[in-house]
Amino acid sequence: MKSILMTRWMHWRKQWLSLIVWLLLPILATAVFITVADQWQEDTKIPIGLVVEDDSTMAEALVQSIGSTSLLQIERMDKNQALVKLEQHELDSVFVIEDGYQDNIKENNRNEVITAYSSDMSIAYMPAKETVASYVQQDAGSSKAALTIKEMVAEYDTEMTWTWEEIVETSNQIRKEQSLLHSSFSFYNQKNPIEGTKEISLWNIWGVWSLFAFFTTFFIFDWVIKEKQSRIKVRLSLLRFSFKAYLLKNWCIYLALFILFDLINASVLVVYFDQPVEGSQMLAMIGFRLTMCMAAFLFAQCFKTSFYYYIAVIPVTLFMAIIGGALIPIDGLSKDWSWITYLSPIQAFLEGNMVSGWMIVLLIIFFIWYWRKEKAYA
Amino acid sequence: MLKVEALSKHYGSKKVLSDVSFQINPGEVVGLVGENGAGKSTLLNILATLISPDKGNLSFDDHSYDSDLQKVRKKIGYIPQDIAVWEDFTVEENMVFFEQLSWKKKSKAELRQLCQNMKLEQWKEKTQSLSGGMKRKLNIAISLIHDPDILLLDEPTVGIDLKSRKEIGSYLHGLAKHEGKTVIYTSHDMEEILSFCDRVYCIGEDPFYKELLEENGKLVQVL
Repeated sequence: MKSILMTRWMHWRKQWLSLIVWLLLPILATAVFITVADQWQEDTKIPIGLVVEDDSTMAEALVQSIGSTSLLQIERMDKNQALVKLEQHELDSVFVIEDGYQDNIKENNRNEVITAYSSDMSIAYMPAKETVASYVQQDAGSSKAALTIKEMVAEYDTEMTWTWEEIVETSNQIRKEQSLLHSSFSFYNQKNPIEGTKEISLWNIWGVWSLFAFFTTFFIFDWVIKEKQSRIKVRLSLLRFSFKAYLLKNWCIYLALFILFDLINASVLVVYFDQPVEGSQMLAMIGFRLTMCMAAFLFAQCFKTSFYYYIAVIPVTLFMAIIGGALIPIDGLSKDWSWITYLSPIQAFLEGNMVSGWMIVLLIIFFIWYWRKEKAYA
Repeated sequence: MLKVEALSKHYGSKKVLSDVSFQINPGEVVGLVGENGAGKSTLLNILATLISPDKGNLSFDDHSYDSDLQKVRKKIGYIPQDIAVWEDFTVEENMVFFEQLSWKKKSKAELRQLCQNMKLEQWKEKTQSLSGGMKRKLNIAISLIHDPDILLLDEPTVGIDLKSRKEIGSYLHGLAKHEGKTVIYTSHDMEEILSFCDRVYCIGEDPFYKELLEENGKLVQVL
């Protein structure tokens, strides 16, 4: 093994720069992808116009609530200006908080408190409308609660003298403190959910990393084709060990190198993206790496030229990433076809499983490949 | 001694070697000649254990190819027709690389001496910048790292200048005559065959090579 390590080192010395770049590409590409995608997400907030015709505190609070929604970009203006901008498609939709908003809510009159305008180009009108409506519903709910309490006070003739404002304010206070509408958010492989106060990336960071890791593993494994098809193979076949043993030992060295760089990758993800990493996840990463190295090695055996190998790797990687849920959630698909989750090793990794069906199948093929007799004396 | 008995090889329906038998003694330089596709390289590849025959028995120094493969391989030095070296390595790196994987350990000084014996002096030079003749010499030197007893050369001097060709021929002849190595090589160069070979095996049915060599007083046997 020492001699194989020495000879591999001689190769690596000649190509150290490209090797390092390929090995660090998963983390570099993930960092760039997530940063750019999140920035793009920031730039693609839905622009809506808000016209506030009611000067009550409740109307002002509603504006604040709508403005705090991460997916909406609010422009406050007068109605004419807003409608012109809507016609020019500079705004996706316009919402008018009508005069008497607070009074209507106070009187439990929920109809026509908000008027919405949209155009034929308002592609995000529905979610924007639902968002605004949910805040109005919240105000109406607090107000209804206040009215009910006041009715109860009158009915049971108690000495409580709460005003409507006090009840609504207390109600809002309790809602905030109790986090009645709090929801946490986590990806497949995250045991600890992201808290609401933190910036949430819409992308599964480990999923994006696994896509690039898959891609680079296959590209680095082109050494198999280069050495299998080169003129050198004749010479390598007559050495101290068989050519298959030579390939296998080199595969082990590459596996160790990949695992070393995976640890570096994981450290960067922990520090840079604040990703929680647990022991089970590290084991899943090692299992995923083992699976990928076997897959790339065996896949490379099927090709005679690197060019066609590279051409084939790209669609295979994308297919695996998509059906593995690395880029987009596949809950809808897996609900109807549960077997689809077994098609990609990425899925097992994202779920935190060290052993996957892929790993077992590839191990079997790997052993068959090694023990199968070559068409020579070897 | 190399013994080949009743060796046959087919590629599909094409019979390449049919019932070939011969034996070669230590210290002999034997040439294999024949038209293209006659089976010279196939025979050499079988002798080098790179492909297996359909039938027949082979042995070297009483070690059977079937039962003592590793012992046979230790004794074989195969020089392929294509230059099988790492082009981005220097001469030194190529020698060290294959020494690491070789049957026999050698020091850098010994490896360098091996190259110098072949008049290959560019120890630190990148292989890709060497001339064709120097690359051929390196190709041979790598195959000699483990001190093989039998050298199998597939057109070792093709495409190189006359001076390098003579140097390589003389060196191989010296290995056979002074160190008792068995040398078998294929070539289309009749002058080379006439100069360095003790005996010649003619493969194929074309009488051209046999007649040409016999006219020049060479002992020729048709396989």
